[in-house]
Amino acid sequence: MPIRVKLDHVMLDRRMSLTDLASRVGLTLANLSILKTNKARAIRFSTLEALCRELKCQPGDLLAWTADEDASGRS
Amino acid sequence: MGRLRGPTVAKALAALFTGLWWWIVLASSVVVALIPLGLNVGVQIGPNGEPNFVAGTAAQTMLPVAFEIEAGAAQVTSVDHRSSGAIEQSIGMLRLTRPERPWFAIAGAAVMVGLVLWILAELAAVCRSVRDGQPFAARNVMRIRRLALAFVLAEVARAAVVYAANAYVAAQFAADHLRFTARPHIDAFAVVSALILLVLAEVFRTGTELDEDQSLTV
Repeated sequence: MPIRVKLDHVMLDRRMSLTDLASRVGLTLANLSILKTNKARAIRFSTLEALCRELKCQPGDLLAWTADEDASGRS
Repeated sequence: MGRLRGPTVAKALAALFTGLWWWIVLASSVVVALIPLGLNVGVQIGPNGEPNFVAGTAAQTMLPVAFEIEAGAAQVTSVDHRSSGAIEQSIGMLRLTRPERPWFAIAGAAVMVGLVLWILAELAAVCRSVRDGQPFAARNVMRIRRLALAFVLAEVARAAVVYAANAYVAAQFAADHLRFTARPHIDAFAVVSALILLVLAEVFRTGTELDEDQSLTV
């Protein structure tokens, strides 16, 4: 998918573990893992808002668009 | 709006299809097991191709026949005698008095029993997945597509068996005032049913995609 989630980078910057972030934003570890490994098809605004609040960042810090996989992926 | 009682219906249907599957398997096994014991086994195919095996000392073979009636041989009159007519062609059953078992009838009936078992197994599997709350799965899409194929194959097998039986009787038997005939006939309803199943498969495919989207939305 051309939209890539950069959650791992931001978490590394903030030195926050996946378990810690999951409990703070109220997501299950499995769902947060889906997001982190770029397997998610969609993200709710409420989830994005909670992630930005806990990681103290902007949505653009979490998401990136790459053109190279555009033809093969499902947007 | 009232809540539909889907899982309850699916549970009942799954039990029904599974029960029918086992009943046909047990009945067929008993019939086959009786052959080595020396009991006579007959195959009966209804006028519309429905197969049935019968066992016992008086078991006889029955074949579907189609025939044309000699002009004027079967006159009919209304009760009030105001109108009249004549039967020109009809279908029926020929009961063979000798213990004869045409191979095509046995093979055709066996194929149709196999197809019916296949259809029942697929229907039961779909109903079980609905009962378990997991209807939108890729395997259900394939099951429903296979059901459509099975419907077409069953109809082709039925038409072939009926045609073969009609042709066999037309070649081997004769009767006064009757002329046995054999014409291939595919039931349009079975083909339409298969098309409806293909549409249903597409609905399930879309539902599966939506379900995946939903489950991968964080």
